[in-house]
Amino acid sequence: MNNKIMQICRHELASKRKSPSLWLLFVMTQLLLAVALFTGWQQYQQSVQTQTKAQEIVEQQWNAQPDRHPHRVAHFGHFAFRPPSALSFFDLGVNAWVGDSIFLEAHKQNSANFANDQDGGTLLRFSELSSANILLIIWPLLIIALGFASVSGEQKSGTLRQLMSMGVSFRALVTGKCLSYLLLSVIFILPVFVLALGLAASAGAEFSSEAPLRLLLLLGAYLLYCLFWIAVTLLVSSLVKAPKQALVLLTSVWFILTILMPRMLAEFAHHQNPHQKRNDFELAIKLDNRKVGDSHNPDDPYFSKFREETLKKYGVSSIEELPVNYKGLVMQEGEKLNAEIYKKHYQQQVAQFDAQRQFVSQFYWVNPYLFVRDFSMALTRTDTRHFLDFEQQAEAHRYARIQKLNQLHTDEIHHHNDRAQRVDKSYWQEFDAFHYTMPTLSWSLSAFSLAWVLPLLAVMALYIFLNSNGMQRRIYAAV
Amino acid sequence: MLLFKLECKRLFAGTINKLVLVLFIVSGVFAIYQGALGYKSVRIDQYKSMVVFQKEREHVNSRETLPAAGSLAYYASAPTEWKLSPWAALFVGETPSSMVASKVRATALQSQIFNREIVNPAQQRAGGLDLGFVLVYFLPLVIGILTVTLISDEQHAGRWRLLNALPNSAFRLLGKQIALRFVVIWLLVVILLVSAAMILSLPFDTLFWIVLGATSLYMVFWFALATLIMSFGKNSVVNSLAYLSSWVVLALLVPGAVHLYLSAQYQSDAPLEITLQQRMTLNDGWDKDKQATLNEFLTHEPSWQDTAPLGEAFDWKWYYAQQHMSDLAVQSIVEENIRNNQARQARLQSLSVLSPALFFQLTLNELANTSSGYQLQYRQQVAEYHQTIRHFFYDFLFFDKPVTRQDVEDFPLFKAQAMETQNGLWKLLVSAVFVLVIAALAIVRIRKVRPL
Repeated sequence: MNNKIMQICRHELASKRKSPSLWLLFVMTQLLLAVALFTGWQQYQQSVQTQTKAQEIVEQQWNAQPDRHPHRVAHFGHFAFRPPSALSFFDLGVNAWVGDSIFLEAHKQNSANFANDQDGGTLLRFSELSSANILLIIWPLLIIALGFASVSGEQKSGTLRQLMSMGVSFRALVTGKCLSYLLLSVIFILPVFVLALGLAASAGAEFSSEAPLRLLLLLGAYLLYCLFWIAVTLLVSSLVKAPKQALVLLTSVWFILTILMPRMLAEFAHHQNPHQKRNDFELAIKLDNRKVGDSHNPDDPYFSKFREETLKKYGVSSIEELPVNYKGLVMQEGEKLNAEIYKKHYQQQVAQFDAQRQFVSQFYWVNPYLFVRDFSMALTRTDTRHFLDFEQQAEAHRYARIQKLNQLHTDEIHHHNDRAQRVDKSYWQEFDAFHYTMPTLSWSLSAFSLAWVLPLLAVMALYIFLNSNGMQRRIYAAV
Repeated sequence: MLLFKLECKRLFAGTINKLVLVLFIVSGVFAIYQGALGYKSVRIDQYKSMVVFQKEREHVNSRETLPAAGSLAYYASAPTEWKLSPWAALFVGETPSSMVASKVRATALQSQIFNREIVNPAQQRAGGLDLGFVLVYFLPLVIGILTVTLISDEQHAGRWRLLNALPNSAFRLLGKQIALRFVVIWLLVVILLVSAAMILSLPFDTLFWIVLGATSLYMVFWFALATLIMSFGKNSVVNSLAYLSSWVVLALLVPGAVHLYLSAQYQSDAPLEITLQQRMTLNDGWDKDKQATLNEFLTHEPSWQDTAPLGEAFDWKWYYAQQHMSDLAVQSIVEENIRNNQARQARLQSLSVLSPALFFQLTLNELANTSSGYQLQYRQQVAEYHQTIRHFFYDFLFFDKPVTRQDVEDFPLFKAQAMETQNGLWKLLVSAVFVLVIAALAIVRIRKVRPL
């Protein structure tokens, strides 16, 4: 049995080797992958350089400040830059559509700006030419081209009948062919992973012990993806008699799964769980802020109460008698309220994004393309969740930094003639630089938990069906 | 007539043919529906911004005392709008990810202009499905599936040899078959466009006919390509693979490569530089001699040079003077950035001839005023409006004119100017010539095809 499978596998490989057009496609796609990896790598390095340099500049600008009033420093603000993740050269994910830098200032939470999606509406209809994208969209086409005639062709030319009469079972035939395509897939995708590993290792500082593990998981995910397409190709080729029709049907399936369905689902998810547009989002925050209280208004009910409580806490009767600067306390309270309101609205947006993601993830088992695409983005830290994580880290940093300044305002500036005073510049050195902490592997994959089981089972089910007795009978009946 | 009926039967007999046509219609309807929803939300956004602003204005005017001009200007975020044609519902272009109703106030412009719309980037990554997508990328595949195996099917059925024995009849039959497919698909496209026009109440004006004409031309190109591939007389599998490969190259790889090229060639950190530099200028301004800043400002805005010198206390007029000076400080980078963007636009235009899909997509976005060229124009309009707002407040700030309720009412609103449209007619003509040449070539070659 095994011997026969190996023979079929060898024979299939040998026959593919003879086809010049397949060779050409194979080589061209390899070249394409290499180009994609190379340009991705260049972009990655450029981006690392830009972000690191910009972060250094703003840290220097911060540290070089002269003696200043802390609240002015709060308005001077700071920047958080998003360093690209170490494997983003392999899968660019959503990078093109999200900003790389956030201005951190008092009273206000800004969003990340400066995305690289110019002409996106014309040029990025299929996303970028990244290695991941080529493996996701173009490689299945090659698998289809390799295998659409694998059974239907044998049937058409009559060789299937001969094989069967020689005692080769349909199972052995399918397994052998499957093995040969899997082997070709491995030969095809391995170089890009080896290169990626080499490049990731040469990145030095950004290279963590996690990177090889992430790459290994990526390889596993893409192999599963190959297995899925091999199974679909063999199945269609077995069920459809004419090779031409098998090809057309497979192309249609490919179009639906990789191009039509992801788009429809994303649009649908958006309408099911809409997030707010910028203007609505900012208006809602503004209105909520107005409701709570205006720290600049002396008669504001909320802050009148706050004053009472503060005076009671310190056991004094007027703000001038307080051992600390009341204005600083008001700043702290105002920032706290404002940050809470922002967080509430921001979390709602995040929840909607997450609901959209979960809606799409329900279809992982029908369409493994969706699963592998999202899994790959999670592994390379380039999906929406990772971007939102950056925004949240930046906001946490902003809040801590501004509150530290407000604390300085409270402790080091006297209430009388507040605006004319300054604190010593040595204080600026006590602020930590912004440093984005890359999420760990377990965090990256936490959104998936058991989501990988169903697509895996679906692929297994395809193989079980392919090897089932019913399938075998069907083929024998047709021959 | 009998032949026609027979051909129709043959066309609709195949399960896959039917499946593909149904899928085409379904995705077209879905795209129109989504587009209508998206366009509605764009219009609501624009309208709501206007209403919110009016409310704020009423609120200001209902107060007992009006705020000082400087404080009024600080909080007066006025709405603008990217004037879109209703066709933007069908060809969304850059509108999903950029602001269509950004607000602007009299403080430094460059710190306001880079605001982005909130999008779920995962949705952008998936690619979006507007009618433009269906026409540009899906339509060619439908054409291919229905057409590219025609001759080989005839051969397979054994009729080709027979037909070839009769003078000219093989070619005539093939011509009829292709024409039938063209008409069927064309009718589907017309149905989609007309129903879209009904749903979105688009006028049946020149634009409608241009879209239809461009789409027909685009269809002719893909039919010609399919015919050309058939003319090599290979079997249906080779034909299908060749057609599919052409689609992958023209629809996927060329735009991807152009994107890579443009990103590398016109890569610019200008927005970041502008932001960083403006922040430093604004901040250092507080430590500089304020009168000197004001004087310098007045050399740029001489209409207000008779303003009184600054006193000891904080003065809003210095504040706005220095806000504007910070814009001027980055002016050269801003202009450089605009030039860079324009050069990028021009290069994209010229590179788009590499792929009919790219060219057609760009044309559709241009027709709907949603391309990045129009995005830049909108930004320019916002910049001009910003100047109008500034100048409106300068009288109050620099001549100490008190703000009256009437003044609040007279605050200038953004008037969306009609976008400058490039005359695309000659482009259409040139592409028509190109397509006809390819079609002619295909016809000449297909006449020579003889049975294997």
